[in-house]
Amino acid sequence: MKSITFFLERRTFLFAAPGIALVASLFILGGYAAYSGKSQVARITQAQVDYAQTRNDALDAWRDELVEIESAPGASAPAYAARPMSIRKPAVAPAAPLGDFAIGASDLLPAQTELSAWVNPADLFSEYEFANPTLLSIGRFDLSMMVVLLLPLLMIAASFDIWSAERESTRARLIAAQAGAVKPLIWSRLIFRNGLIWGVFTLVALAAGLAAPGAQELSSTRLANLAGWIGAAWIYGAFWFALIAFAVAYFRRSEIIAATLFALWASFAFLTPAIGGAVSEALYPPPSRLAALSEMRDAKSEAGKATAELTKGFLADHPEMTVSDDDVPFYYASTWLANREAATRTAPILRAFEESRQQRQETINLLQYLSPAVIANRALLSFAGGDVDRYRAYQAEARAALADLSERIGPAVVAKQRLSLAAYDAMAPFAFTETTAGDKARDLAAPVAFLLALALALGWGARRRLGAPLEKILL
Amino acid sequence: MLEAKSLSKSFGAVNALNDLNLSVQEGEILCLLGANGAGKTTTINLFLGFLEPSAGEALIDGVAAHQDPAGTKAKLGYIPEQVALYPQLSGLENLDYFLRLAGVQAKETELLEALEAAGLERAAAPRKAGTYSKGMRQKVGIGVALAKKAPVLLLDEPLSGLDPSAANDLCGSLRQLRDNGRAILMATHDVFRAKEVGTRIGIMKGGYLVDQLEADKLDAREIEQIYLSHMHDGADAANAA
Amino acid sequence: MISAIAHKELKIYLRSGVFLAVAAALIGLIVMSVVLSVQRVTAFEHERASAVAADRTIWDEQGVKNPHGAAHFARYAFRPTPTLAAFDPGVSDYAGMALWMEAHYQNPAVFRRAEEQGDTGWIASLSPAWILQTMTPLFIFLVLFGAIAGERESGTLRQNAALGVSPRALAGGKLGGAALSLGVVIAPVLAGALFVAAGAGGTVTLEDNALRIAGLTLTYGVFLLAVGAIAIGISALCRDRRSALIALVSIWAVSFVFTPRLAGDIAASTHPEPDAGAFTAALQKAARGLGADAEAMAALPSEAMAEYGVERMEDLPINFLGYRLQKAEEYAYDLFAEVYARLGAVHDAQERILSAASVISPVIAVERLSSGLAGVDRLHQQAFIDNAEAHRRVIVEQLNRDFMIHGADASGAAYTADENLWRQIEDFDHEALPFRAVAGSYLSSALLLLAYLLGSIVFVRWAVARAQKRVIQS
Repeated sequence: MKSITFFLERRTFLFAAPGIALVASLFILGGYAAYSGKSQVARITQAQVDYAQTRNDALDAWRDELVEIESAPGASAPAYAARPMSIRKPAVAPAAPLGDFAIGASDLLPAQTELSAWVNPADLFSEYEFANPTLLSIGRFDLSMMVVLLLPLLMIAASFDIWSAERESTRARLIAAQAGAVKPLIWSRLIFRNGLIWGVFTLVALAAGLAAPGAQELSSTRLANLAGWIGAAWIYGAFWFALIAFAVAYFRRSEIIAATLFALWASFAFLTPAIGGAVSEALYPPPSRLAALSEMRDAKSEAGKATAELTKGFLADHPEMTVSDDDVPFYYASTWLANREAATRTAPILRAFEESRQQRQETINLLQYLSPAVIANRALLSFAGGDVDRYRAYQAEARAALADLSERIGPAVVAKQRLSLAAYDAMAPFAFTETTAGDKARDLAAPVAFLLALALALGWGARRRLGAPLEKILL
Repeated sequence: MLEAKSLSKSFGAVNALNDLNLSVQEGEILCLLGANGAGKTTTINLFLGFLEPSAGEALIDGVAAHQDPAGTKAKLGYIPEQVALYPQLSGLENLDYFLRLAGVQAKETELLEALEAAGLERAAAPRKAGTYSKGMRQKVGIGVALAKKAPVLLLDEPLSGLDPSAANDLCGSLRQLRDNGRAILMATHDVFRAKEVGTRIGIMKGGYLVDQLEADKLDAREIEQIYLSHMHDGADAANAA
Repeated sequence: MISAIAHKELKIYLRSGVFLAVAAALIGLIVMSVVLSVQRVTAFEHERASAVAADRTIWDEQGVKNPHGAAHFARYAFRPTPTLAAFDPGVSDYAGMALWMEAHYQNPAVFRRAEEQGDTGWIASLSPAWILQTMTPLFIFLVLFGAIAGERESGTLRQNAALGVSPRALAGGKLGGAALSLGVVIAPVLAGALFVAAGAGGTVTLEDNALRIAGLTLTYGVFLLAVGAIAIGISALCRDRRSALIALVSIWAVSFVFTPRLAGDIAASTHPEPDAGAFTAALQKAARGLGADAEAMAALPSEAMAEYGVERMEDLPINFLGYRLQKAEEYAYDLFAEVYARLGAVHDAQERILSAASVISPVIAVERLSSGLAGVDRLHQQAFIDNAEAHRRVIVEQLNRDFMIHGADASGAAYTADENLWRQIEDFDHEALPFRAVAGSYLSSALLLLAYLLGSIVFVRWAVARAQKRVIQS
């Protein structure tokens, strides 16, 4: 049956206008999406390298001052030189190992900041909202988006009338009069056309995956995530394949099959996420950032009043105008204490906000079971590292690193001393811990298994129907 | 070669075919005449194995069509009212494809010979089937049956919509096939063409085979009279039952 | 003749299961989106009102401190949400809704609601405008794909031609019937959506709401009529219903789903956003402006003495520190403006690419018009930012001047002020742009949409004539 199918498909699809257009559009759009993703990752990586370099250069200079001071213990050092409060460490979440496969939250959430004891953990991420909101609201074009939205559409367009067109033209009768059974023919044609789509796309994805962007190396982490990403994409493809086969088997008229499949596509890809998002927002509103902001400001204001007593509220903003060289250690100590007080007061608010957000997210995650597109989107974003969770994890790690920095320098600052070189060198630079592909797979196991089960159930239904007596599928 | 034994088919409460008994031997053409809904196409569908009988058997060379679909189809050639081909493929490629579906691998020369034998001009064979007239498509259909060397031919209204010349060509081909020993069952509305090609003529009404006539013993006008009298006589079906 | 055809079409649609199902889905979706959107906008405004009140209290109760210290303690400007955002949220979820008005620094607007939308936010967000822009055309295509192709298949197109029905009459009748039957469904829900959105309680009503609502009605009316005409035209070009359906769904996918995203991506790649780190560094450099300009700093004392007509610094009737701080503030105005203008130029260039793409994807033009009319596009966001910046300057100057004048006798920063001064600082009150003032910005989109309508009417007439000719010749 395979050679007969190839004989037919070669002439009617593969080397005909529809097949050529399909393969060309997959190569062009896939190639563009891959190129665009790589350019974006290269741009982000370069910007982060520059960002970290500037700060690391400053840290090196700071360390040189400390070395100089330690090497001449008796000599008097400049008041501001090598003070622990001047440590500003870069904390960067590098582009995800497969970041070029999904833009996801990368253009919305911050991936770099500066760790400094001057900063309250609640304010650690600021001044990153420069992107054009018009473009953000439109959404972007990347390989993950192609899988979620475009590929199912191409699958439907390529195969919705594989059998109904034969039936409507009465070729089906001629076919059935020659072949003993039509089931293998229908399956093999469905597999051929959809296999072509997925084969071409997988080639594009593999080529994009094996060519790491910019200066990145092809790491085992990238390969593991690539395998996960392609696996998730294929399972999503299997769902659509089974759904199309089901519609082909059960519905008679081409236009009904097409309209049903397109309507389902629009429902899964757009309506369910849109309605689900709106309903969940109404039922479980996200915690109010404005309310949290007010609470935090209140807490910080109260904490700040302690220092205001001493400095009349001016010192922290303009130390150069008010603090004499002799007062510098006192000034740093009081500022550190005030900041710690503010951090202590705002921590519960920040924690409550994050917990509320987490609880809401867990509830909303249940909605993914209403739409295979949402499951696929989540899985693909997760393997590509464009998911919100990755950025939230980065924020949590950066805040923890800030707390660690603050605690490490605290005793020296309060004692109005400098850190020892050994203590400074013992402080490791910030390094974001990526979730492993295995952990991601474990996290996604339930929804992806659900998707697979759905695909199997639909495939079983289609197989059963196509195996029914001819009069059910032919006449 | 082709035999219906107490063959019946119901669709829910509707009895489309009732207790049909007939046989067609090698070198014979049985033409089934009847109005729309008389049961002609249902009979052909049962022999093709497209439908499962509610009772009785549709036998091809002694084998029930629905019990061995692959085996019986190998012996069948089928020409529907509209022979639909893939417009992107040539007549030759269409023939090749349908033969492959039937499990027959033929050389190009054999394919061309089959088409020629079916009456298709050699020059038309490599042309895209999208450019074919209905008559040319019918010839490709006959070509499939010829190349398959099918001993039994089932034709469902093959003459409808054909111009007189094409219909004449088709009738000529059928006579030739009959003379070559094929057993042919043809459903048609055309009394005169039935008389022209048929060995026997069966008249169907309301799912019953109400009469069988020897074509060479009556002229076309007499056959038409008998046919019309059956059509106008409401009691016929009951009598036949 | 046209009215007879339109009447027949109306009858057929009202008896069609597909039409009734689509109509029910459309009504259900729009009603649901209106209810949820109004609830959402009302909640936003409630949230904003609480935040404004809290900001006022925190500001007033900040305690005794130097006025310039208070300028750093600072206040927030919160962006009001216009009622029409319940109809079309535009970019409001992707643009910062709060602006920190601090001394020496022009902050970007922060807190974007989209950051809380999770991983599916990018796919779609429900609003009446989204339903009308994206889903309604799909529904129209699903209803109209057989408009002419179906007649061709069933042979009635040939029959009509034999009866002498002209292409103009057929096209007009088909379009009229479709407009009438779909209008019966869409017009009331559009009017209802706008009415409910505009009247949502507790939210900010734009002063020129009536003009904006009229504009929105016209925009969607023209857009959907053009969509209907295109659907009928494509149906006439296709041999059968099946190919018409595939052609229309393909057009929808390309034009309504993929082109805007692709155009957005090309815009972002061609004109990349500045890196946040580099941009912040530029802002910080602007903030250091006067401090980094040694010459200007050195000239300040003489400028101050000249301004107040004294010859010695100790004779200045003001606190020089306060004077210097205010001068530093003013020095930075142009520097900040320049930095943000660079960003604005990038965003403008990006949007020019979107505008170019709207030629093949008219929904981009509709999005632009709709969000502009609803007062929630980047232009209106920029107006909020500009107003907030103006207010920041007023607040900081008010505080610095108090420091200068009333702190004249105090040395350095020893002068303090209290709640009496804080209470004099007014809350930020944002007046949205009147639409007339910015209408010119939307002219190209409006003209494009109009051209689409005219083009689609010419197209449908041509396509129907071609279909008639084909069936006559067949």
